Amino acid sequence: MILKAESVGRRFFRKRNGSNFFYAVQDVALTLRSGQLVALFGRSGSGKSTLLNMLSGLLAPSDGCVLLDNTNLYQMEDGALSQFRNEHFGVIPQGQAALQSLTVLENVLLPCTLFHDSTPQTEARAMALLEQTGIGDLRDVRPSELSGGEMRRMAIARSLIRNPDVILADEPTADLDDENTKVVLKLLKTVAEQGKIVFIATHDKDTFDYADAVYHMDAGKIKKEE
Amino acid sequence: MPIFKSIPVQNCVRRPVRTAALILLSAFLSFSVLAGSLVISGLRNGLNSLETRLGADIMVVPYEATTKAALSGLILQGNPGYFYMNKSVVDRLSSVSGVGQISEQFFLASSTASCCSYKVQIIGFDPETDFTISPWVQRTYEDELGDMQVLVGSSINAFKGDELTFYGSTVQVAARLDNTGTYLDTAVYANEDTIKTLISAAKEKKIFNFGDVDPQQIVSCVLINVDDGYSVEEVLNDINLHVKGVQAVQTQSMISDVAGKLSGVSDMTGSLIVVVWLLVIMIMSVAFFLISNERKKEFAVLRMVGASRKKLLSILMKETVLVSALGSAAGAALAIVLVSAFSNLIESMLDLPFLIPEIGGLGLITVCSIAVSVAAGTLSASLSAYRISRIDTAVVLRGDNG
Repeated sequence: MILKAESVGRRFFRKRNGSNFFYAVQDVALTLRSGQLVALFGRSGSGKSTLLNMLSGLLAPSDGCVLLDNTNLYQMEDGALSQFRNEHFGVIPQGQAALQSLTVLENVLLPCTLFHDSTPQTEARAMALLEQTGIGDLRDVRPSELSGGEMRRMAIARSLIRNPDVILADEPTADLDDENTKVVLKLLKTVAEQGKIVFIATHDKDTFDYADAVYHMDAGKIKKEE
Repeated sequence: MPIFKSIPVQNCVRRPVRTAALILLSAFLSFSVLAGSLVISGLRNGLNSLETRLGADIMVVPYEATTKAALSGLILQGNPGYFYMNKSVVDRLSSVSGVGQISEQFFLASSTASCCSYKVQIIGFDPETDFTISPWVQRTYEDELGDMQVLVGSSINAFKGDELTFYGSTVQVAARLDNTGTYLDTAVYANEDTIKTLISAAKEKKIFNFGDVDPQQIVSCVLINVDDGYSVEEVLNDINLHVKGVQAVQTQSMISDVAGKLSGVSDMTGSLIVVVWLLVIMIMSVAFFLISNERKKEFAVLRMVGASRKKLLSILMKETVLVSALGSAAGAALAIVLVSAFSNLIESMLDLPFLIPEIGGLGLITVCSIAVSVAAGTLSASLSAYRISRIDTAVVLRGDNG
């Protein structure tokens, strides 16, 4: 499976340097293949999250296109694209994102319940993922009771519940201590080795030790690190 | 997925404070709509009931009883009272052209009675000629009313078989009548012989100043239906011109005063409903707006895991309908309980006959009020729901580290 960004750019309307808009991402060409863990490194505001959002089908590019194999994401209707994202993409967002009215287990199962696909098997898989991320004992706890690191691990488990082809992670180790950083990166590496595409935007240089390739992003442009 | 495990239900159940606040607003909305509608329809029903019970075109009373306040106080509000004229008037009235059905009634106010801590009106009628009270009485009591037997209105605290004492004379309750929402509910009914016995007893006890009234030779009022081919005004004028010492009153004119007052109360209640409705919709709109802003990130998470914009809209609208339906049902139940419990108070405060609709009408008004309240709740949430369904997921999910 190949996730490809072809001359992708994203323009935002904002006054900057005498212009009414600026490019958060500019003319990015990127090819991600199954079985690879690829890291994207860059400063804050360099365009990493914007690129991840475009790759996941959440933000339509101003220029270029995004293809998963030969499917052009942004040529689909919203309903079809949403279902496509549910089936093929696991997204780990920045910050703490969860439904406060659901328990940790229910949040992990959310991609399944949304499509009425919550079965004893998916529940067992959710429990296994919670155990792997080290928060199995917190299954019945509400998100408001979790620490930042625990919330992040819950988001990782949620991104993997549908066994998606592509994992897009935005700072997945941001709130984690060294030990848990290693656990999460090992888990994502294992997922990549199982034939998935794993793409991580990060500040954390520890990620490089697990990455098959590292890209550097600056002012919306991407460059492969040699 | 079982309904109780669905996302909208979980969102409502697991956020009890937020849900309770929204339920309370919906309940207030449906309460005001239903309580207002019940008051309006109760007053209309009361007026209809009064029209049916008066059931005569013309009422003839002694001239001195016709200060309109005293007469309408007795007829419309059930203030206990009495006035008499000589029975010979019935024959004179019968001979007036255009007089059709004719029947006399007898009024007596109790001093105290074993049933009640207040005075009650005792009304005597002749079952042979009566055409106003009998049709209503027969709905509950089909037998002939015997001597020293009475029927009691629905507001009198006495039941079949009970004995009541008026002026030292004991009468037996034969039946309790249906509620009418009018003065008739606070009255006691007897046949002509029984009421004459009671009037005689009252006269002997000298509780009222009956003067030289002979109970066997009196009536309080005469009710008349006009024959076909005659106009009510024509017969009324004839009576007032040719029968001395009496005053004929058109019953419709007494009701038109009530109808006018009712129209004023209805307009005011209707306006109040509209104001409350608009106010609550505005408050609910603001509440939904604030709640949806607070939950923006939650909806972004739903988008991220595969919810389409349509699905987001559906989740939010299902939550709104659920909360509005619960609140509206609670508000409606409260409105029915309170309006029923305080119907007598409403009647006396407004000085108008008041009769809560029967079960079918009540059900229809309740269903309509709940539907209106749910629609209003849904309407107030729709803009917020649409806004949420259009959120820029990437912007909401993005933190500081672009």
